[in-house]
Amino acid sequence: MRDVPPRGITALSGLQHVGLMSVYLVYPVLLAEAAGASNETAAAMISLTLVALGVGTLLQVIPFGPVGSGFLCQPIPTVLYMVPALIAAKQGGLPLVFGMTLAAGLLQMALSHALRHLRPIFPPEIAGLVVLLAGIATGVVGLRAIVATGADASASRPDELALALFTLTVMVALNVWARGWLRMFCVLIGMAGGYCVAVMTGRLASADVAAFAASPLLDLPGFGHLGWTFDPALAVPFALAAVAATLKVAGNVTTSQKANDPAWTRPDMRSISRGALADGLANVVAAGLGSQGLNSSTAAVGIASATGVHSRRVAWAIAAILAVLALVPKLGLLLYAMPRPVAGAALVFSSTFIVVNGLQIMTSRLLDARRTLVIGLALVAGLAVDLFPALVATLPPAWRTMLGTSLVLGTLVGLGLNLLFRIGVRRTESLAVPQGPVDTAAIEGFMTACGAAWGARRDVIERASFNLAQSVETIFQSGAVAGPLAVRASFDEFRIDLRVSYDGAPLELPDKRPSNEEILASEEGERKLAGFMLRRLADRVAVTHKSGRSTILFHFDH
Amino acid sequence: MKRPPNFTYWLDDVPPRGVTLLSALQHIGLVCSFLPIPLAVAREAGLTPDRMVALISVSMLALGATAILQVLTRGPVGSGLLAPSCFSGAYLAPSLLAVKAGGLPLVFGMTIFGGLIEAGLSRVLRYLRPFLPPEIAGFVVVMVGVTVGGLGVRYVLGVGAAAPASGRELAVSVLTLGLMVGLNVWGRGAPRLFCALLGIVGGYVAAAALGVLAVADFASVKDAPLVGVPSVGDLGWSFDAALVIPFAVGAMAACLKTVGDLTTCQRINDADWVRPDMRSIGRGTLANAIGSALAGFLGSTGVNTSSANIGLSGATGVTSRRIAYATGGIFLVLAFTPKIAGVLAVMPRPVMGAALMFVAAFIFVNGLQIIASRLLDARRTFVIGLSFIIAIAVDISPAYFRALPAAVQPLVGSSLVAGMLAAVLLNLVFRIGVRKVQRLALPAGHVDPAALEQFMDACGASWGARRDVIERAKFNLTQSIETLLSSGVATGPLEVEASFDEFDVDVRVFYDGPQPDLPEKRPSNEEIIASEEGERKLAGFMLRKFADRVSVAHKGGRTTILFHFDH
Repeated sequence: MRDVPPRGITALSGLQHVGLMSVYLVYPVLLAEAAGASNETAAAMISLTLVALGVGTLLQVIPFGPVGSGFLCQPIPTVLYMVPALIAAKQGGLPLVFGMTLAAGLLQMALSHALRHLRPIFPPEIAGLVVLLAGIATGVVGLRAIVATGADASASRPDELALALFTLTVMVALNVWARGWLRMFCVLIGMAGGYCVAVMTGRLASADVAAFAASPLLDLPGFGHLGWTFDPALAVPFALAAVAATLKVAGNVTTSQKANDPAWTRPDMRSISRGALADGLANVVAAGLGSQGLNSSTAAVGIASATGVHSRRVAWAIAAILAVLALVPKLGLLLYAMPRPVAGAALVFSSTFIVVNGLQIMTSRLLDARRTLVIGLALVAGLAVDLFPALVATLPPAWRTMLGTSLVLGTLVGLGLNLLFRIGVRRTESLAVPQGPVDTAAIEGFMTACGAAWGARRDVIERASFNLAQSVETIFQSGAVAGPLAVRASFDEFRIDLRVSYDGAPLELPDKRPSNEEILASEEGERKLAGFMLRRLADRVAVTHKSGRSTILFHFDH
Repeated sequence: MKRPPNFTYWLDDVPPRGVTLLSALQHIGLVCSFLPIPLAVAREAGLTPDRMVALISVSMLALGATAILQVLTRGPVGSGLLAPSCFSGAYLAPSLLAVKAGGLPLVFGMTIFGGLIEAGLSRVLRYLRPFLPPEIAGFVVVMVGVTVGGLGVRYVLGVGAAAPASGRELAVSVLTLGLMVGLNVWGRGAPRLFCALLGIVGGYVAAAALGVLAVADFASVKDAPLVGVPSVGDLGWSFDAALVIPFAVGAMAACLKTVGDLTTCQRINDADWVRPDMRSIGRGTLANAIGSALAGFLGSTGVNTSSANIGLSGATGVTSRRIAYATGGIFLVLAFTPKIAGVLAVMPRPVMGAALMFVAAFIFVNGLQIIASRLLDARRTFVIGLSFIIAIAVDISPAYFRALPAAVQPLVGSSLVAGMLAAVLLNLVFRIGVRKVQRLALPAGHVDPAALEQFMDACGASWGARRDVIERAKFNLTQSIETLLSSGVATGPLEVEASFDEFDVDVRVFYDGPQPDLPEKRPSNEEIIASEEGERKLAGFMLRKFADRVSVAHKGGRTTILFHFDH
């Protein structure tokens, strides 16, 4: 993190990160279009987004005061804010987008201190649901850009479909079959390819070309479009986006911590909340400058891990490159003139990853009937909005903005049901294991049922259930036990504790493997070996003994 | 096969009559939760109440026959398992297309066709596996969930009906759904098991109380005789080549569902289960195929096995074949009792909608879990993600697709069909260039466990292997290499080769050095100390414990250890 890489590597890494960011500049373009803004405004908005991204990167990566996680998980324009921002743009133009984003940024800053309390309300299956619905929404926006350009929504335009398919095919093919740079920049190359085809087939409007030619090479971005308004009707969608964005930062910072610390055991909440604060602040800056909502980039974390370049120096390189690009208005115009099918293809491409990512987050936890119903009913509700848009039109206007998108309605249903179903979930479960041959399947079944009721992580439960079966066997084999074993399993978001108690002498759990001489020399040796094995299975083990009854605590980080 | 622990009545056991009867009734209750599917198709066709009664009667006939066919152990048909079929969400979308194109006769005719396709598929299941990997099976289940849930929402809200749902109708839906969900989440024992059925009953009561269901509606029930032969008189079957692909896709989806369910069922019934017994699954799929064809012939919609019922038998530990015969028998009796069919036939639309939504929630998540059971790399992500977007596109902009040439219309007429076709096609394309054998060279001396884990993860994702098997292989690989190095057996550089087919994950470790002894039994402590070999034997014993099967070969100074994992 604190290493100083050679200049060339710093610059190249910076370029890579910027290339990744540039894909998401499609969002402000679509936003400007939805608000009916002019070419110049759109170009200025893109330049200002670049500035905001630069500032956001520095805020996140370079710790200053209470702000910044110090990891390369800098912001990008986010789909989470995109969905509510599109409604805002249509309803109140860009000022409403900026005003609402500003408020959401402030909310994110406030939430950064309450992160710890958010986790039970926003378990991973809900976080995954939000991501999945956002992915579907992105795909739908992309599809609309491809199939329905202009007013005549029902007309099939084979040439536009062909252009979109071409762009999409280039992106997918490069991603699947290419290696190295070609693969990393598959989206950019696909967009450029689609652009070229559009130019060659004469699809670009001459006005766009003229505006592009007339614009100066270097210029400060204009602020003419600035303004901030607020509409309480949009508060819920933006607030939900803010919560989701905060959770995403938490996830990204956690991943970065893991990548940077081989001895990582649990999330460091301090750097997470600093990261969340930086992300909120970046949104305030973005909205203040006149850009759309930003959020920490998972792809950036992925690149940093894949290349092993975590140096904070890279952030300065990113910021410098972004600042230069922001001064080139031609770039903004170029992006704004991008044919819609090309932009749509890029959105569809990125949505596939968002959808599958969401699906994996949801299913990373074990799901029992409650959680199944939470997710299932929320998805049905969310899809209903997408499938029957006519229904939304029948709602009163105030409700329409609040419930009119699949993302918002689905998330609200999921949140509500999750809160409701928390009633009656026991955080501690017990099991009695009788003496005699050990029924491994029953022990595993017990742990799986516990895990599903708690929504625990699949891999931790698998480890814990393997370990429980092993330790029960070891304890019985040691012969120190009279009567049945009592197993108590308890859970909170950060740990799973298994307590195994029995009447008998405490088991010795040495830190070191006993030497072979020891195993032979004393009777205790064999027992020590078993104890040593047990210690290795859990993250932490403790033994207590009280009035003839021994308790072994196995602790697993979660 | 080995009897699982905690099973009260296993396959060949004979439970007391009371237990048999009650268990059979439980299975019937669960199967009946899916009755809204053919009812919905009939409703779209605008069927009169008395024809509805006939439809339900013949539906029961088909369900009863399928449950019995499924449990047969002799002849070419039947898996021999207690796995009753229910009406299939997979056939819902094609059936709705058929209703629009040619009314019920077309639905029935095409359902027979679907059954024939299923029968054909049941013969070639083994060869289909590479083309229909689990993530596609899971995706299909998700899309079935979308179809069923979408229809549920339509009924609850009254989209496309003469008038949108009134406040009272909405209240009935909310009550029905609330009852189902509440019983499922907070109920215990029987109420929880029957939450869907109890919810439907509650919905009837609420509908009657709120005036959604009038006394006049029960006229047909009153007129119906207590005992009567189901009327199959004015049936017709027709065929339309344009619907061949939608029904073929529906049949494929039903087939995949049945294969998945029967696999689960085998696993539940056998404590020694390692891998699916494809012969029994093929016979079971054929039983279901006959069930679908029979349903079409008698005048109903296609069927597939019910995962809820298999879950029930696993949870209660009662899988006796007797119960399947009893379930089938009771269904046959019900088919000749028009009064009961009549009560079901007047099921109010809000109740039906709520039931469909409830069922959809489970189908959805089941599908998501099947997808997530495999590791997903970029290729698989595209297969699922792009197919999903295409499917959604069909649902949200049908107008766009209606403008396409008539020849491709049936392909894009429903999200299930379009999505599944896209998935199968993309999967085929992306198979190009997937290596089934991957290698990793490890330099002498220090071995980085993280690199080993990453290697196995990448392999697993590109093969789409099961997550848990790869987790095990990962743990075992790092442990065994550590053991090899620390025991001094391997000193030079190591090489790791991982290979995969659907049934095995094989990890081979190559090194220059002596062959480790892999004793079946832990060497005694005396042995460990007495001979130099003792320590090595201990290491070998540890290695053996890690994988499902281990073997060693030694040739020209180079040793190969093969770790085999069942998949």
